[in-house]
Amino acid sequence: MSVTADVEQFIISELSQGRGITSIDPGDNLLAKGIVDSHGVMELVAFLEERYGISVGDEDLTPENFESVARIDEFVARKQDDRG
Amino acid sequence: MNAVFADLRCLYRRHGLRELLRKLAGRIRSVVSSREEVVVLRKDLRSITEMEFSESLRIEELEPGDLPALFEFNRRRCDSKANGRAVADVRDGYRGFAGYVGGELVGYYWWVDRAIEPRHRDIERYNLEIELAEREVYGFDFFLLEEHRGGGNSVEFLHKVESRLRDLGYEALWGYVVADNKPARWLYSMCGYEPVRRVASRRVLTRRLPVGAESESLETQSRGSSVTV
Repeated sequence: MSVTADVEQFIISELSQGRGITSIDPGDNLLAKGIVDSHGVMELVAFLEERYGISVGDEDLTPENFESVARIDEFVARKQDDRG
Repeated sequence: MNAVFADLRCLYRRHGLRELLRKLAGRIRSVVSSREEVVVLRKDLRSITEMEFSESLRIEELEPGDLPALFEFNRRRCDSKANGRAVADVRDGYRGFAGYVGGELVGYYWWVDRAIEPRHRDIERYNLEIELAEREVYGFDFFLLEEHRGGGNSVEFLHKVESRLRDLGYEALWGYVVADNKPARWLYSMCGYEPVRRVASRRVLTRRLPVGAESESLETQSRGSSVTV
């Protein structure tokens, strides 16, 4: 499963419960859609670190890296490249 | 003293004995001696882009006539001490926004500019070293009822406040967040707030003593100001 599909699945099943969100466009703004709030960010980061073996630091928590599933996909790829 | 007991009873009814004891212990610890680190934040309001929300949350300017509604709000959240702060804020000419869902008051956000007060009490208390310039504001005391958190309400509230401040002609918004409050710190980062410096202080009884200020490196600070909030 691609990172995009994986993250979408996680968000729909874990972060959007009870809100009737059944699909997310990779370009959707996760903040504006109310999908990521303060606790959602924590859960999402924990998921990415565990699933992809990357480390997410404070300095990584920017809109450029996390505002959409597509941005998260790119971020994970960069982190994995950095790890070599 | 009656108000304190009323708040304790309220906390017990709403959250149970364990939470009441946890809050009491925390309060006692913080009064006797505590070390606190805060992160000073700044957001460029010119970088805000429009976002689509559900429009369920409405923002309105707080007026002195809203004080009774604020008192009722504070009673519901078991914090009657906040009444005194609200009265003082209105008396001192501070400005604020109230957030409503339907007709219900669900949160508030206070702010000042240099014409109202160049050095807000938080700036002095925590030694934040914020010097408000023209067209800059300091935002403080943002509170949203617990039952309305999640689902993007905090982000929507913040975004609508920032948009209103921008429309009033302000270009930068300053504030701070407690460093230990990681969810809030990360959320502010995600919303495009740039950490400017960390400030540590130690409280001993009623005195707050500075421990030292440390500016974070520019490399870690240069988060895009052209972000989508």
